[in-house]
Amino acid sequence: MIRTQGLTKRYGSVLAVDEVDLDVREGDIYGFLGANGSGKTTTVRMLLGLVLATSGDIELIGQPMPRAAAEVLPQVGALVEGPAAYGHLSGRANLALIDAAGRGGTRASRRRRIDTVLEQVGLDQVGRRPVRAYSMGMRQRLGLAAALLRTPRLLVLDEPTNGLDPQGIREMRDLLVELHRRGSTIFLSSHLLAEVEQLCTRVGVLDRGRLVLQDELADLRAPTGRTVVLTPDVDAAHALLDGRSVLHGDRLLVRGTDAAALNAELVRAGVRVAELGPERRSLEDVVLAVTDPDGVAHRGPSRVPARGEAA
Amino acid sequence: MTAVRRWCLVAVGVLLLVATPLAVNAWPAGDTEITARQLLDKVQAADDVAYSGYVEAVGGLSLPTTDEFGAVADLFGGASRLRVWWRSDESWRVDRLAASGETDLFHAGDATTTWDYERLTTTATLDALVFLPRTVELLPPRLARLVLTGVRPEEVSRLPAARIAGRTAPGLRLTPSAPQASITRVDLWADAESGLPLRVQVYGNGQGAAPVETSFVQVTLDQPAADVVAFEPPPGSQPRFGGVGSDSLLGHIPAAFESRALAGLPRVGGASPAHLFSRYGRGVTQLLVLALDYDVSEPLRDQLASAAGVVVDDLGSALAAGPLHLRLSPHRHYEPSWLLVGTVDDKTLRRAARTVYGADAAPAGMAS
Amino acid sequence: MILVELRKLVRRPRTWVTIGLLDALPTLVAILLAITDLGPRAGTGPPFLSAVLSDGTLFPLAALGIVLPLFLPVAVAVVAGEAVAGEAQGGTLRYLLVRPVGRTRLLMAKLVSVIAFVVLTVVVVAATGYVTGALLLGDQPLQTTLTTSVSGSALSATEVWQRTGLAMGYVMISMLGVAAVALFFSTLTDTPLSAALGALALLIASTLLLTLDAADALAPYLPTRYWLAFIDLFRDPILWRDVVRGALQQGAYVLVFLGAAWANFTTKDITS
Repeated sequence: MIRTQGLTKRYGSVLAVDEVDLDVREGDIYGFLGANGSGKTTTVRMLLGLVLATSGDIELIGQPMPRAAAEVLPQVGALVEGPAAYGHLSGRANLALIDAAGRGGTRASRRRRIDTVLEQVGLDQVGRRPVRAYSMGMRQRLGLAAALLRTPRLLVLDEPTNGLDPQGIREMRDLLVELHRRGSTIFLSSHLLAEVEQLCTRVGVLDRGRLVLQDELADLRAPTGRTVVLTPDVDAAHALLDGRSVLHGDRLLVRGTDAAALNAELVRAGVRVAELGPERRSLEDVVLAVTDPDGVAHRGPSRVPARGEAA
Repeated sequence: MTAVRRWCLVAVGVLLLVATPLAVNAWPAGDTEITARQLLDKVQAADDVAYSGYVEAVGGLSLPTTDEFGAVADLFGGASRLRVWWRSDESWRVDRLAASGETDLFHAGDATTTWDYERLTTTATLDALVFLPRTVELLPPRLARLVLTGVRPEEVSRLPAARIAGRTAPGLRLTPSAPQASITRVDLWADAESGLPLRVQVYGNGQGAAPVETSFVQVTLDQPAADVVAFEPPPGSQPRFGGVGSDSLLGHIPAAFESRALAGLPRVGGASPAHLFSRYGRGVTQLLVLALDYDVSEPLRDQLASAAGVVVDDLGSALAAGPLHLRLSPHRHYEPSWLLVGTVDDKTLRRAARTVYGADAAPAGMAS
Repeated sequence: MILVELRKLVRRPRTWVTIGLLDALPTLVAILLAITDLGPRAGTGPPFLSAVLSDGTLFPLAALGIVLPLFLPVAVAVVAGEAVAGEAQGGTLRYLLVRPVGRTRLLMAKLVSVIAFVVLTVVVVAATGYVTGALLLGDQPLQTTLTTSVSGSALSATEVWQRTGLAMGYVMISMLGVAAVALFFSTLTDTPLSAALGALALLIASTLLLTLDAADALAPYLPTRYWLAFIDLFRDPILWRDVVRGALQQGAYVLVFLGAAWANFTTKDITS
């Protein structure tokens, strides 16, 4: 759905985006991660033809951008850096205006489509109130409603949960899952690891303009070959396992994937087991590892004290 | 298309748009073989050419602005936009355009009607009573006729042709030979086909720029329709009758000066009606003598007293505005004031003043 | 897209506030003239204002003459300066562009909407002028149906209507240059105010240069040079010279600045 090759954007002497090769497949919920200022928004804007690339190629839904923008973009719904609407008009009027502004989406079905999306985002009850009077969360929903108007094949969402309360974030997540289920591919840019971890099937990580990681979330989070044990009798367990385990905080990491055998062994020795299961790396660990090639920020025993707290 | 290429496209467009009018204006005029003498004859024979058009005139003369002479000062002191329809000397119309109105002269036979839009007035005047220059004198053909009166063939030479109002116009330079002259030269360009003067520039002594320039910017050499030059006073306008510039000038003429010649300049024309004024000179060298009523002379004297560049001496107040020199006699009880004005140098003007009203004035009529 | 822009224009309260303010000045002038019966001295004041005391049918023109030098161009500069920069400031520009609306098409739609604003304003000002002129001004007896032209000839009611229409059209055309310049500035910046001020600075410079004899060579290129030529439509016969030049000049301004706006906007990174 999205494919870029050597995508580069240079502002004067500053390299904002550097040789990025994105690959988003149909059916993905793609999490595009990166710290603030890593070039995420610039990349999103380039995908949508707002910012023109210095070099490199972009392909959206199989067509080159920005050359085929007129054909491609009607099939794309987008939320870029926060919502925007005309404050003096109602949400409904805003949707009608933006829908009428371009091709795709017939006039006859406009009313019905607006009703549908307003219901989808939970704004069907606000009536004729002008957008000026909306809360931040309501504006965010309205922005999403505008993105959904023409049931897009591809949704490009930049920080969609900004300004939403926990309830709103949850609703947004459910909505995205529902949309994905109905066949939309979703490209979600975010700096919130948890959000991406909960929602996405595929992850790309941008660090200072470079794409440092791009993989299936499931692969990234595959078991590491160790088993995590949580026990009140840490010392006893440590002694029992003798060299097979390392202590990591209050948790014990044990080599081997056979959790059942390990459990039996511990219980046999009278060690009480509170929790036990295969170790998986968190997305945070993965991201920190790739965005920090020196391993400076790595936690755990391998920490190098000399390099200190730099990261 | 890259940004650079787009901007280049725009730049080329701008260049074309700016350069086209410049190029059209700068297009050189093809010159003709005509000699100065032939051209002079041709211009002088073009008196009966009918035309209509649009004239722009610029005067650089700063004259005192009294009620009576304000119009004249305005005429020669600033820029004028004129529209003209000229059927013949007997039937014409000249509009002087202003930003918020216009002042028009409609001429029929020997009378002229002046229409002033902003005052909503119409003023009818007999031509014989008019001596102050009016807008019509600023038309290139009229000004040319004035300056070429009595010109001698040896005073003219050729100038390269110019393109004026889209027409080719060979140029003619007039260098007055009269020793009294304050006008150093007059350049004029006339239509190659008809001989109609299209542009006139009058240069005074000592000044580089043209103090008075008048030029057609648009001209048609067809007979204008009769109804364009006809005038019907609109309802609601105030009809008035005018005379010598204004009512008060017409009122009481206190005296008259008559002589066959003055300061070496011959008398022009016969006695003026009601002996209003007398005119002397030849071609561009002209001297006008008139007696002023107290009501007219005093405001003018006050104006001159406060005007810059005015010299006061035993022969009154003198002012020079470009080639135009002016002299007002000193105030004397029970005697008329004399105004001498002309395109002559101050020496000539003093000589004339001495003759007309000077302390040692010779009896009128005996001066030569 | 053009319809969308027009809808935005008429639904924005500011449009109507601006037009209302523009309308207030000539109406105030009409009321003052009606009360005091004092016209401006000849050669001063806006055109036609001395004539409306006797002939109220000319007041639409006087009203246009009152708003033309300053009020109307300011309003046009504000509206046109808002066109792109306002959308950028509000953030709606990026959503229009990903809708997608072609950038050239968006510019054209904005220009059309500014022109629509000008047309609307001129028509409203002239209509109000007609009403106030008919109600408050003119002490001519009713049977005189003839209006006096600037050249002193009589104009029939039909001719007055035609020429008033032409004059309104010319005033509209006169505003095209300002509109194009403000639109260009609007693509340069994300703040509508600076775009409007930029265009106004150009107008003020142009007005100033016109009073300067030394700048005569520049005069034909200055955007305000031919504005007052709408009076020429009430001379008899009509003096087309400046009207035609004014129209051509405004056309050239539109070409140049719309071209510049196009070159800038179509290759611009939208980071608002």
